[in-house]
Amino acid sequence: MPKAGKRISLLAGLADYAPRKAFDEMASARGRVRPLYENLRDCLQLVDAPRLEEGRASLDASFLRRGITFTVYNDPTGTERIFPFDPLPRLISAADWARIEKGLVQRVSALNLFLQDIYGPQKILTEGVLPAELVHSAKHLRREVAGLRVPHGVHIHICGTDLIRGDGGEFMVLEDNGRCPSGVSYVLENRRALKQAFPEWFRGHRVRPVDRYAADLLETLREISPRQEAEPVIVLLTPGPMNSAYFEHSFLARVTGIELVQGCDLFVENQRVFMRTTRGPRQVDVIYRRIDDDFLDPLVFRRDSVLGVPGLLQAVRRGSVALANAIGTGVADDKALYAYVPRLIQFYLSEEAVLPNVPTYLGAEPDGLKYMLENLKKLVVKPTNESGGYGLVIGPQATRKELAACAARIRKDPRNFIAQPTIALSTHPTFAERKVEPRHVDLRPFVLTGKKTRVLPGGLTRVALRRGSLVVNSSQGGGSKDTWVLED
Amino acid sequence: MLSRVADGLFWISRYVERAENLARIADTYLQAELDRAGSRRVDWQGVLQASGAVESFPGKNGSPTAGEVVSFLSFGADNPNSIAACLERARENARMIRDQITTEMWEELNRVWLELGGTAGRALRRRNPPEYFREVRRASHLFRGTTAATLSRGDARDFLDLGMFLERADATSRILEAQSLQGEGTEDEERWAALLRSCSARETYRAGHHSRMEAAGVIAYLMLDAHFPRSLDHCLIQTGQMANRLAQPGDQVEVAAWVLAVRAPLNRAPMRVGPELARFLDPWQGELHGLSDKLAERIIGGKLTLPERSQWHTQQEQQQQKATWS
Repeated sequence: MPKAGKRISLLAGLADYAPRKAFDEMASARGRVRPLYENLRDCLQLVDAPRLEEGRASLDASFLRRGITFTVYNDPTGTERIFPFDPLPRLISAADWARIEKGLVQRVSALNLFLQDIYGPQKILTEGVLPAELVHSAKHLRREVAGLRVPHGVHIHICGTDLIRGDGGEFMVLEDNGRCPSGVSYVLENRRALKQAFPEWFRGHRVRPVDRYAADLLETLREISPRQEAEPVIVLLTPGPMNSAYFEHSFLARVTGIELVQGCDLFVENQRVFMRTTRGPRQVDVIYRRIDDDFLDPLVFRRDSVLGVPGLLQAVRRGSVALANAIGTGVADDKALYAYVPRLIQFYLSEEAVLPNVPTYLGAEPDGLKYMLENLKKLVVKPTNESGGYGLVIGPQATRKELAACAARIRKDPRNFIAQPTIALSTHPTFAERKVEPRHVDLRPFVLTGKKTRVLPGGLTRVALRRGSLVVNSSQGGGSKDTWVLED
Repeated sequence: MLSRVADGLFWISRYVERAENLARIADTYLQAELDRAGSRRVDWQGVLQASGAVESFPGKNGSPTAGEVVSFLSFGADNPNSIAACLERARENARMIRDQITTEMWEELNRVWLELGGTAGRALRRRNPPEYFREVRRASHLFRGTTAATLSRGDARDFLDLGMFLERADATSRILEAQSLQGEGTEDEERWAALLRSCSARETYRAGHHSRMEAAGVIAYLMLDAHFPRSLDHCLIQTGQMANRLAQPGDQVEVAAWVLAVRAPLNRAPMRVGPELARFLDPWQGELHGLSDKLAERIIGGKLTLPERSQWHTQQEQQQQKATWS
């Protein structure tokens, strides 16, 4: 233990900072601080470990005081927890961000065109770019909305795309979230918290602000209102306070000024949606729904749903109300489809994908199948029609017998399998165990699309706080960081 | 405003007020017992009655100790109306309508729940009961002040005030009823002082009454004084005003008549303790509850299809549909 009052420069900690195999965002393989991080390093030299610890403790206390918590399921002891916040910010250069932003806009545009096509003429299937079977077997395809036109042809209004960095530091897309992506409230709250705890760090950097998000979200929702001539009535439909993302729902309602509603607050009459108010029924124009398709309308989807609004789909069909996101977007973030997204971009936009996918080998293609079978031991094999990790085989961890069984299954039905190399997420300096250590991170940027597309600078950086862990999920020891997109 | 939000505001306010009243009752009687140590027993049955906790208090028909009663009122596991339960429900209602109240109001309710509702509050209550009860009362006052300082003076504020005044009228009438069941003892000046204190009324009463404290004056004050914020008459005057502001124009006359029907009989109440007053207050409280239900239904409006208790598990399961990032 250091003597009281003795300042320990973090630089001393950084001398031991030893990134392991993965790409480290601050230190190069030779242990040099990358130019992007030099400024931050200088800031960090002025704080010692106790000050960092104190800062972090006060941040935790402030999250708790302000009720910025998520609900833990199946936990009898306490049902609300804070999402651990690591004070060391993650930096993204202006050049990297320009590329990411371009890539995200491109990707979301292609996914929207794809959804318009799939629930419309299905050109991509008739032209044989995408195997029809793959779409028809997708769990989240909603035949009930086939032929339904949505405002501006936009289905995914709010998209969260998970990015990781590969061995050379290049950004790659890990998955798309086109249903109800969450996490944006933490982006805004993390920024606010860090500004209060370590304002001096911001002075040495030109950090792009994130607080336009609320205005952008509101603008996006207004743009899809069916009643453009009048001031639209917009609501956010939450499953309720027991949902893990409830804080975010109430947060977004508050910062945009739209009404937070539950299913029981809404009803449908004459194919219009109304909310029950103290001054009688009030017609609703736009619903930012944060509940899954399955629960939206018990007359059409799950009949036992107590969260939805009976008759909602009829109102949507009639065009009297707009939903964000539209029904049936899950087919676009299906694992099976992921491998084809670069080709969707090519097909719909005649462009090369700006952001690459993680290399993915398709059993449906001869070359892919050959590579897959020859390199099983190095690969992660995923069935395309399963979710939640079911049927996943991790090559380096599998026994010979398991690999043989896997190979047999692939040969039997090649189309049902994809394979990817095992991926090590990049690492980033993180304050853990009273010193600064490399921990794995990913990034979820948020893209809003109405009449035009708006990208929140940065996004949610999630960090696996346990040493060596690659799991960034909040339920399994994950935390988050403030993400700084720097201006030149 | 959403009917569910109006309902949430109404109940936040009632639970905060209820916690404050419970704290005041428990504290007053705890102090009264100290005053009389060894000489006479304090009527704990009356305390339980004033706190609406007679039925849930476990067994012990004999004579529970002060510690047992106070513990039950503040944190009793089977007491749906304990102080901790009220603080938790106030905070839970606030969480449900988090977007409709100000950050300052929410943080105050959240703070109170964290500091006084859980382990920390339990420890404080054991270590220093008067301090704990003072903190609970202060929490209620801070919440009202925070509300006055940060919330727009519109319907939301009126729903909060409506809940507060109805709850307060209920509390004051319970305290009076519990007193009236304790026999007359008109000479007992200490007793009237304690009664006033349990309504935070001693100082204001003294300011206007310089003669010897006696039953009739104290009871008249708590029932009929138009300005004292916890008197029955004042609470009903305010209830009438809130109801008038919140009701639809076509409902205003009817709603005013409902309030008046509860307020008017106060003038005929017997101004002395004893069975007569109890006989008056018991049905009167029934009328008050009826008024509260009618106002809630008419003004908060639209019957809410809130889930049945039997559906609660389904609700929970479905609400917990996996968030995509967790």
